[in-house]
Amino acid sequence: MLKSLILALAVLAAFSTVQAQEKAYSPPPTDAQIAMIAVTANSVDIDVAKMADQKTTNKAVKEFAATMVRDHTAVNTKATALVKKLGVTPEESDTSKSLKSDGDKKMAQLMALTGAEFNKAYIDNEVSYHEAVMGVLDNTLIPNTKNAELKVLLESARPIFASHLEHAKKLQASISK
Amino acid sequence: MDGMELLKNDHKRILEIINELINEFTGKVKHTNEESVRQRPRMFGKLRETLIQHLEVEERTLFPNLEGFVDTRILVDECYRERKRIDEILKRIEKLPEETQLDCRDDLLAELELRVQTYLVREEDWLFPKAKLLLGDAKLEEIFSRTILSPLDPIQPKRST
Repeated sequence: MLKSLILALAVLAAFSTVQAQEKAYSPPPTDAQIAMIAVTANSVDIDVAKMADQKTTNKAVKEFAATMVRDHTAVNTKATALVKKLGVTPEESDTSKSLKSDGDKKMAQLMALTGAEFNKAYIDNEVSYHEAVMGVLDNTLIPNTKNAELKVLLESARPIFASHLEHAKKLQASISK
Repeated sequence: MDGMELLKNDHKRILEIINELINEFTGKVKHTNEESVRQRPRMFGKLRETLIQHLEVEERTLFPNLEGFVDTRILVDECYRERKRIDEILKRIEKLPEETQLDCRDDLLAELELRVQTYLVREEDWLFPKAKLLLGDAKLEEIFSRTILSPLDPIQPKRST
């Protein structure tokens, strides 16, 4: 229980850092940086979901993880094809670096857990992660995207992330019962 | 041809109309001013009618069958919302007086194009693949066979039950 609480607090702190960094930026991110942030955010969730698929025996959690792998991989495939078509080289930024390093930390924390404790921590993390991603998407990525095709890609995928959040919240409620 | 392919054909048609409309307003087609002004209400009408018919087919086929899934409920809601946004932009463009600044009109046309593209991409990239995954080909065939499989043909009014 204490372990889960510490993990949840660590996840919240990590996302607060990402959001604080977003607000602290004076120049808005470029399209190349936005592409990298989007790809990194998807990759982080894919990695965690793959680990969840291996560690959990809970059918609902396994299905959720499979959906995360499938959908986030699809977004990344489309994003990668688009930047190639546009001739844009995705560029790292503090946000993408933070996402990656926080993701690595979360992976390590989740790796140490098993069974029901793992399921709860994974789903709690998915709720926090998708809330943070939606915030960054709505407040930073979509409003600052200049290229119309990249904007279409992000906006068209937005309901997918919102669905993930809803799905994760439902699972969170059912797991807590 | 399956129902999903017919919906994708609708999308191509919608994009064609949008491009015609943008070309008309940006002067890429050679009409006299009078002809242009005469063409515009017809083109807006065609776009609106095509979008309405397309949505009606989806309302009778895909949407009711996808609203119950957590993976697609928000996607379906967003399709409805996007249609409203498109309609609002169309109304704003239609209301613009002829002497309106070109920049203002160009901004609205760019917004219209973005919203339509987003609507179509969202369906083709997300809604249709998820429909195939969640409902399966057999169920989709059954759903589409129960409705008119020619989305751009006149749609029969919905029957009240």
